[in-house]
Amino acid sequence: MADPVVVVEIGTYKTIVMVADLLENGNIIIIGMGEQLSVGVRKGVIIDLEQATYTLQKAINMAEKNSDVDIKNVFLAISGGHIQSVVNRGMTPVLDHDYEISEATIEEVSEIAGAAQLPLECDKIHTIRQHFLIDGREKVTNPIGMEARSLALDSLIVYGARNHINNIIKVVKNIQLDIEDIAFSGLCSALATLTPEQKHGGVILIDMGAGTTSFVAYADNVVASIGTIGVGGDHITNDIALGMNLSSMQAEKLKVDYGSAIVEETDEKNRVPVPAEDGFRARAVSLRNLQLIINLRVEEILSIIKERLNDAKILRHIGAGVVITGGGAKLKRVKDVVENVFNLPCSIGVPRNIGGLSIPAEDPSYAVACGLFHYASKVQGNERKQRKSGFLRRILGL
Amino acid sequence: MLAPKIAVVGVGGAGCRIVDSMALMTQAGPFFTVISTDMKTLTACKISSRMRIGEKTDSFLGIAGDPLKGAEAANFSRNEIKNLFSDVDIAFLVAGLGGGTGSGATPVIIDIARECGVMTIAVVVMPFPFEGESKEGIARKAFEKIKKKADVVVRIPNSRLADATEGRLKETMTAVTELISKGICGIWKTIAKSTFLGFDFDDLQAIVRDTHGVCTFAFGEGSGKEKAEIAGQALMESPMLENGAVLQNTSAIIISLIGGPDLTVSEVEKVISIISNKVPVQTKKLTGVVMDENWRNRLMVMLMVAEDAGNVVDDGEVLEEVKEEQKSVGGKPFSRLIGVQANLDLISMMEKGRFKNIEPTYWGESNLDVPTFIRKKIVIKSD
Repeated sequence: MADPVVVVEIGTYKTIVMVADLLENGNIIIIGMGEQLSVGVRKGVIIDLEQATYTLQKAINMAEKNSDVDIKNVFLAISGGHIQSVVNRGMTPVLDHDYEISEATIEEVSEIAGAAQLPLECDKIHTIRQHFLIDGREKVTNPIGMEARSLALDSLIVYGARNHINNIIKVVKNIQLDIEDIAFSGLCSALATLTPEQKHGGVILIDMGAGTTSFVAYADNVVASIGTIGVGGDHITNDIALGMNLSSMQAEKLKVDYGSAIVEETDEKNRVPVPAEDGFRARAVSLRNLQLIINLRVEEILSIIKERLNDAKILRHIGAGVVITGGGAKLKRVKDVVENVFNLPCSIGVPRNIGGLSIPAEDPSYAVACGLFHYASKVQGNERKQRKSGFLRRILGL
Repeated sequence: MLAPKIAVVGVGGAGCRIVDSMALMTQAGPFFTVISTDMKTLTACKISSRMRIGEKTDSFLGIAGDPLKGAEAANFSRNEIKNLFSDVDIAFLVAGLGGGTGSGATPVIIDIARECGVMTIAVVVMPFPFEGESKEGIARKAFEKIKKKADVVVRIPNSRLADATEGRLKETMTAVTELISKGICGIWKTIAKSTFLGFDFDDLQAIVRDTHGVCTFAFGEGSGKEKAEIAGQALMESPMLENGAVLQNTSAIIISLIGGPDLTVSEVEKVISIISNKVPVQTKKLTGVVMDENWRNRLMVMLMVAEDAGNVVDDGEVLEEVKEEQKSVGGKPFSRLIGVQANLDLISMMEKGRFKNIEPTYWGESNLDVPTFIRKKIVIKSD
């Protein structure tokens, strides 16, 4: 059997290391896990390299201990509000014998499509194949052997700010670990939680984390658009702290214990208790105010995503609805707000096809980490194909 | 771009009187309102927006000059006061210090306005020396409080004006009213109406943040062929500037010029050069010119001048007090919460907490780190 795969997610709230066996049939069995509360990470980016490194080391140690595996190389998730996507089209004339598209032509057009002009100081993270176009008209998924004069390919390029990407990589390298591959966290969540049916019907995956909120939209069975905003659960907590004059810790506890994304409480006198903390005294605060503050922020985040998808002209292709995952999906009644904003059915996404340790399997906050295994599986699958047929590069059909 | 909404609020006996006169002299523009604990004061006012704060009592005695009661009254009526500020961007708060309502309620009202995201410019009148030490003490303490809370404080010492009018009480009172009216007028007209040269809310806020101190008003008027020179001279001779001494060390000034359609570029240049000659080169300047259709052959220039906290202090004791208070708030100036229309860029904020020193997240021109409820101007009623 192949070696176990190790994945690392350095989130704003928690740092996770998971070890799993990836079976040939596609199943993922988790055999060990290490987890720490993150330090030195805000909005998905590293702001204190030393502290983040120290935290990761502790998580790695934990994972090594309970999986009994010596961790040497990892798959790493990349997050941050700086990560965006752009669609790039490449086209090439078909010069094959009898105009029958060959692997070489496919490789050629893939390279052209992947060569997008990125903004300054940005690096590519993924190049994701969307559709091929035969003679500019017909959309196909696998054009090999088909007859055409020209072949075009639309590629979705996912990119981010070089310095932020490099900083996350540095944290891992600081502990003398090798990086097998990096993957955009939102994409991982999508791989972990979405079904083939959803991808086929057109679906939007929204991952609401503590630091950032990402979205991945599938239309026509391909990834149509990807994006991130540097706003997350931390902003909800901060809004509560400022709006109700509480400490961050009091606000966080209030959000978790009593928070709701919908204003249910109409009676202004209904109060909930807040324990003393941090020099702030114990109090009873208005439940309605709490819900109002949360609702405004959550609605705003979702509206911004909707606007971005509108700009990319994607919403009309979404048939299967919206899936929400990440820690934010655990907020009471968040589904209702999603449905109000998008006018589409909403469900909570949890990691699928994960066996072994039970903790991650039903918890949306583990979507990214579990998704990294799905990603690793695909990469390794491609590598096997590559070894067999020898032409695929790191271009993924997802 | 929509003009910012401006409110002029008179607090307490003196404040109400001044704002009442102002409202009568001004046509469309800011929203005028008066606030007091005393029914008598309010019924004497002619403007329609009047608010009585504090618990209802049977007597009409008001609060007998007790600032603590003034503060209590404002706290009691918090919600009504919040409603007042719900749609406002800039609020001028006018009060006479030394008594109960003006000194006690004004700091609380400024707090409430801040919570609503309003930029607050306090214009306060200090008592005459002859009014006694106890009033002076109350005024000083109130002034320090207001200075810490408001974005800008404009200080009008009655004594400066009294010199000019040879101590005739009634004329001094009139002079104070006129000064405050014209000063506020200059600013709001420039923001709302300036034509070929002006400053907007953004600029005002930037300079307000920079000065963060105490300011004074001064004005000058002129008519006829030499109106520019006359207005400029009158300005320089204004008792508020103490013969130009105030200008010598100032860090920032805001110049507002109002003229008719006959106003010429050279007239504008003349006035500005008269002023510029008297201020240091590195002084920050904000200039606005307003053309009022109804003015003919008339020019008025208003000046708001930043005075360093040090210069304004009357005696060493207060300086100590100021230092103490600054230490207790961490020696840093408070950042301000200012709510603006969606297409104006946002500014400084209260302690960003979790997002301090982190690159802010922008969506268009909105800073998403600022709480959503603040940017959407939803008031969270305090418990």
